[in-house]
Amino acid sequence: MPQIELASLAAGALAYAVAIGLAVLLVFGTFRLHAALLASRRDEESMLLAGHRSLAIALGASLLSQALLLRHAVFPTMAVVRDLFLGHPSRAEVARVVGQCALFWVVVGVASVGSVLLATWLFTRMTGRLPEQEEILKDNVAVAIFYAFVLLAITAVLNEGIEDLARSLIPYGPTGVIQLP
Amino acid sequence: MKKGGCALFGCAVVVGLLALATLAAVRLLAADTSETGPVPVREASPRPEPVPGDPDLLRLTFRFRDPDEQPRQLSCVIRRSDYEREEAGFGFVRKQMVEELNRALRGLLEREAEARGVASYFKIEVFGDGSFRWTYKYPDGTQQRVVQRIKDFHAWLNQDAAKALQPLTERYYRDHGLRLAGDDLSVDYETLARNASTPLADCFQALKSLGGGRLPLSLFLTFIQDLRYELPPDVDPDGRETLGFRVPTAVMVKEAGDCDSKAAAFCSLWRQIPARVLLILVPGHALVAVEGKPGPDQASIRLGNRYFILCEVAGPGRSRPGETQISGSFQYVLIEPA
Repeated sequence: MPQIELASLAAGALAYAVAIGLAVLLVFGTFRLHAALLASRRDEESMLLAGHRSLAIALGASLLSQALLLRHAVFPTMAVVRDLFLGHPSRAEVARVVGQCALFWVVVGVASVGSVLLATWLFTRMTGRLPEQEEILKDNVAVAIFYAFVLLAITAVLNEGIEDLARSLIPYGPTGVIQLP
Repeated sequence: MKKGGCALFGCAVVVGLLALATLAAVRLLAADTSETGPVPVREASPRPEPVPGDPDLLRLTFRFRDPDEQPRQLSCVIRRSDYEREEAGFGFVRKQMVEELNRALRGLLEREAEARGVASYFKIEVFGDGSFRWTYKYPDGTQQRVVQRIKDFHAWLNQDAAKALQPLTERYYRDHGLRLAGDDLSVDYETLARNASTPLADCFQALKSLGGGRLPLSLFLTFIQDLRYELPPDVDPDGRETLGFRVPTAVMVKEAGDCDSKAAAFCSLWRQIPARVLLILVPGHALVAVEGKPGPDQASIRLGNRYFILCEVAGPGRSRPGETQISGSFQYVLIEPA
């Protein structure tokens, strides 16, 4: 008769809690970062309150893009955290896993935010006759929509690379379980 | 600035696409030409025979068909002493194991009694399957601190001594090519594949040289696939329990084995490339995964940042590298390169 394994359930609950905490933290962080970059020290919150549609579209697209990439940090985190539930780990092992998880989030976070920023910067340099940021600040909705789609397009391509990077961070031992295609 | 940037970008894209197209064309031309096909007619190989002048050397001769279905003959030598040591060192005869473990347990309990300075007061008997009983006696007038030590040892025998048997049992199995985890006893594939590499070094070199300049994965694969498929008994005629596994040297000498035996033999040869290889344990089956760059039509898996091409070694049917129908989550054993 199938049984629910409590350790597995606890690991799943922990994954859920970690995902909620980190999602809020990271999304808020990237929001602040992009708002600062786009609004150039202007008060992005008051611009949004004033109904600045272009800024909303551009900020929303940035957040969505980076959230799509940042979610790849969840899988390696849970791959190592689950091991803690399968045995009786020492404090040193717990500390090592916590350190590994922090490393996953830092690496994936920096790679996600950095690569989207770099790609959009390169793209705006290549479209020299179209000053996206200035037009967005002027509430040019057409440019904002175009900018949002550019971000999502870049993210769609980057997604594979970030997933690959995240999976390469998972440490593996001499024995384990592997998924065959 | 924009026009210059676009021109540069466009040029880079064209050059990149051309490079990709060239790579794809080269890969297609170099693609493995072996195909899945019916079981080839296998010509019987001569039996192993001693090498004149050195009775410890056995000459093995294999006749098999290469990936192009061309008949090949492989000749190599293996030390009889290596083969016999590998085969005799694997598995266990239950009666011998119980006797050896009981002996080790008795020694351990006696050493503990000696260390506590109470050996002369105890009579310990180990019997059955790791059970033990004891009596103790001390004369009237024995010093109180000695009496206390005797009582402490008696309490240790009652409460903790039984735990000493588990590490002894685990070590016994480990020394015999097996691994005990909890109540699960399994074959220690990694150790057995690693230990067999040196005895099979000559066979590896002979097989590698047959491949010429090409990476000989297909050749190694068809060689192992062409070995007779034979399910070793769980208990051999001498009463040795082997969990239905045959060590790599025995697979080569007997020219036969089942899935996991053949997989371990393949691993002990292939790790001498040197390259990493995974032995993947599927219920009722085993296959290997060889580190490399998988082609577009090859089933592969990823471990960390390394790619492994799945290969069926069991035979007797032919399967190309990367050709398998197996899917799902399974246990792997990583065999490091030599």
